[in-house]
Amino acid sequence: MKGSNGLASPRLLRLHFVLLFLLLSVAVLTVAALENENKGSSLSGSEAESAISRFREYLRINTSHPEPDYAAAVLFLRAQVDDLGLESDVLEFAAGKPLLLLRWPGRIPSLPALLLNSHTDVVPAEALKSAHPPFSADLDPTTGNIYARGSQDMKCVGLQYLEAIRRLRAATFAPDRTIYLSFVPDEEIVGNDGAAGFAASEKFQEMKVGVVLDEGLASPGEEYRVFYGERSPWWLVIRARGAKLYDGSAMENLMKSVETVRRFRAAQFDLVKAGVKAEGEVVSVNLVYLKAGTPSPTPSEAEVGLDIQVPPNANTEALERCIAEEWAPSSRNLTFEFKQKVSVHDMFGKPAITAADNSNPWWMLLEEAVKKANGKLSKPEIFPASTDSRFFRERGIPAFGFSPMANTPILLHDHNEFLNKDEYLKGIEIYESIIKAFASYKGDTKDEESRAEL
Amino acid sequence: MEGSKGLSSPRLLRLPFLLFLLLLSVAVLTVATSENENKDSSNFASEAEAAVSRFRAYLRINTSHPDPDYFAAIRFLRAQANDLGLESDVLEFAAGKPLLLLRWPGRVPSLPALLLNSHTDVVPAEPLKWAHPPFSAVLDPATGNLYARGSQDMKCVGLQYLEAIRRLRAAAFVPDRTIYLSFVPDEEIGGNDGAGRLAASEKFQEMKLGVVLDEGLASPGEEYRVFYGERSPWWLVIRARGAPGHGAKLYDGSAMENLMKSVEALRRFRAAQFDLVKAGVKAEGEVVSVNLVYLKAGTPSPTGFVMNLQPSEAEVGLDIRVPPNANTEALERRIAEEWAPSSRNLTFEFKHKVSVHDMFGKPAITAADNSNPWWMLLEEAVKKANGRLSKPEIFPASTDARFFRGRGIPAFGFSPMANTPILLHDHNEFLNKDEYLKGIEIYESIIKAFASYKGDTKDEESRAELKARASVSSFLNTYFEITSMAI
Repeated sequence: MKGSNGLASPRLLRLHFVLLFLLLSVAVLTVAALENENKGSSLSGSEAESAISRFREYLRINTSHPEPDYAAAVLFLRAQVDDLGLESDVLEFAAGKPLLLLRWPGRIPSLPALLLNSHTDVVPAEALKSAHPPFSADLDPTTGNIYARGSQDMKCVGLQYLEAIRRLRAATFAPDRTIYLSFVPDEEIVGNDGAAGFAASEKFQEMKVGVVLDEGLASPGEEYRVFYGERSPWWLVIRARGAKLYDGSAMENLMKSVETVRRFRAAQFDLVKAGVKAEGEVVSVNLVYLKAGTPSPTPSEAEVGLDIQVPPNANTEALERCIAEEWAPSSRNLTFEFKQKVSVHDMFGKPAITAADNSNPWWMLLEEAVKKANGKLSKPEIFPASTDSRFFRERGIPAFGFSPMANTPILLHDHNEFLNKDEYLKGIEIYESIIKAFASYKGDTKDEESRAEL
Repeated sequence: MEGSKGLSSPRLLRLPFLLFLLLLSVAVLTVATSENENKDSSNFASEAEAAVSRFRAYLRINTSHPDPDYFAAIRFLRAQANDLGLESDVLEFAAGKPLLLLRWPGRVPSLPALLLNSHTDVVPAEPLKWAHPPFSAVLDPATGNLYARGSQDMKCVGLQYLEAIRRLRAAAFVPDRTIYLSFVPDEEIGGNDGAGRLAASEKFQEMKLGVVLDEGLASPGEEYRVFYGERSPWWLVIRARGAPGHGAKLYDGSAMENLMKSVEALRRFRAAQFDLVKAGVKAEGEVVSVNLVYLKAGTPSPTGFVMNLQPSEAEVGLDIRVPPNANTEALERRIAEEWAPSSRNLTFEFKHKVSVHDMFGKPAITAADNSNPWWMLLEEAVKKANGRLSKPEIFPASTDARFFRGRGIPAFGFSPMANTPILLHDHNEFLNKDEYLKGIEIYESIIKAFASYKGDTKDEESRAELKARASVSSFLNTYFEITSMAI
């Protein structure tokens, strides 16, 4: 071959062509990959619409106390299941309070199962104080917000579990661990006939649950909140008796106690306001009812109801002394009664919490799965109130409280509770990622190799 | 006639005989008198028994709210009235609430009349908290105490009026002024359908009253208490609103927090007023009292209340009592600005608000000093019957007297119960039967004095006369015992 012609020589041209071809391929692959990612991780327009539509339908079933329409809720959920080919069973630990249990058998039955728990009941709503009827599930077209009692607490989560399962099955995912979904009654009113009865049952023993997911809270910020323990409810009633019919001494007595209680409350609240402690780390006391005097005649009694929440690490003996000696001393004709008093300890005598650090593979899987679905967890917290998680943690089973709602104001139990439809849809993807990760995890918590691998 | 024979002479004999006759007569008269006295004492003993028996019968009629047996009470009282030959009339300003009006016409009809007012209704009683059934009028033989709802408040007074009238008529007393007795319903629940309507009626105008007696209070000490004015009730409801929330959530601005802040403010006010009374600086009737009467908040549940929901509303009911001389504008400002400011989502409403003024715009009180002849007559009459009045006071609560004072008519609150613990509205309310009987005598003396008083309040001569008489009778009382002897 007589000498090169510079850039235009055949060898060089071939190089250019190869480079161009390479660039093009990368471009095509990138686009393809992107398209694949898009197709893989987000719902299509029509899928999204159906999911929202199912959510709104669930919200419309009035499962508020004192007369929740549990039967209608179970009917609705069961219909979803037929769609999805999951095994279903309705348990009834108390008459009129059905518990729906669904099952997706795993490939390795010996592995402890995953339980996705949610409650079907909701607290009452004052229709007159709501801008939208609380059981209409109005969708505001400008904002995309869906207004309904239960939209945050916690019909969203229950149905998001099912929607995630739907997508996993569509993607032909096959879990190694068995996946259970429990839709329980009674959570908003003590919960003894729902998750409590369930956790204490033989059926639950047979299920051999290894980890549980239950409700969390909305997060006004960008990070999702996650809970590894909760405060224990002590529902206290203080009663004052007066000596005479009309001398008002019962009322006086009670107000003295209320003043003492309020000072305690303010001190705890100040710690939270000052940023010294998180809400779940202080003892909170709130007045929930006052009762004294009737139109006629006036009885010589007065009472107050208090919702006290005790963190797992609190000095419970000191608190009990405080109640007996300062808030309701018998020396001032006061008596007290716990309508409910949940222990801060599990059945093994330890604080009923789940490790939320690298000593716990479930924690690491959770954190990673959320990240993978483009979400972020904030620092794990103590849930400021009660959820059904306590019945599982009480038996020594790891449980996380988690509701994928970011950029959402905290409105559980409030007027005008709402959830944005796009948050809801994103949450489905988050759960898809989590369930996949948990159900694929083969190692046991005691499996050193797996932990090292993670 | 030949000379005297010493002691046995006819003239001399006549003297011892006369002396002996005199002694005998005195002896006979003394015996006769004491026999009469004994007979009267034994008459009095049976009279006393009869009076106590009538009192117990009245106490047994259950006139307690919410369902007072007014008609049974009226029947009973009317029977007494018929017995005594008094004119009687039943007025019914509100259906089912009869008012009995009795009349003993006076000799001088142009003189303003005397009204003896009492209410027939009583407050409820909680039987489980009483040692004796509250409507059995059990008489404890060891102490002589009569236990019943109404024994102090105020069936004693109503019937003591009638017993006093009975004794005056038996003694052939004739009043110059007309005497009215009113037995009214409704007092314990505001009095609007009883004395309220009476005082506003045409009938009342026709009665042309000059002075009224109504209820007072028991006195633990030896002196009887007497009242010349009373505190006005302001029944206030404060309502708080706030965001509802989960029972576990700590947040500001809840309805309960709002309300409790207000309760704390008013309790501080209450304590400050109460401290003045405790320190002896002011009498109970001279301070503004505030007491909580009801609290209402919470979401009802089948088992009581929902325990994990902080309610969005809360309310408190207050019983406020305002003395006649209080600065009412300052109090109203305090309520609006400190206890129920709208800035903290609070509203307030008066369920009942009685003015401290009479219809002429003056503080609704009756003069209890020597400028008022009725006061002097009252004081004297009580003294005359061996009783004593303590310093006149402002009644700490409300009575029907306000309806009469409201129209500018002098009224005194007076219940002749000394050495008696204050038990109105309380468990185990009682009155000793001897106190009851003594009270009848007190009223006898008062009614006699009032009904015989011919002068008008504006009659200078009469007032002067009264003053003179007052000083004479106090002189006599100090140095002589004046007992009434009925022969």
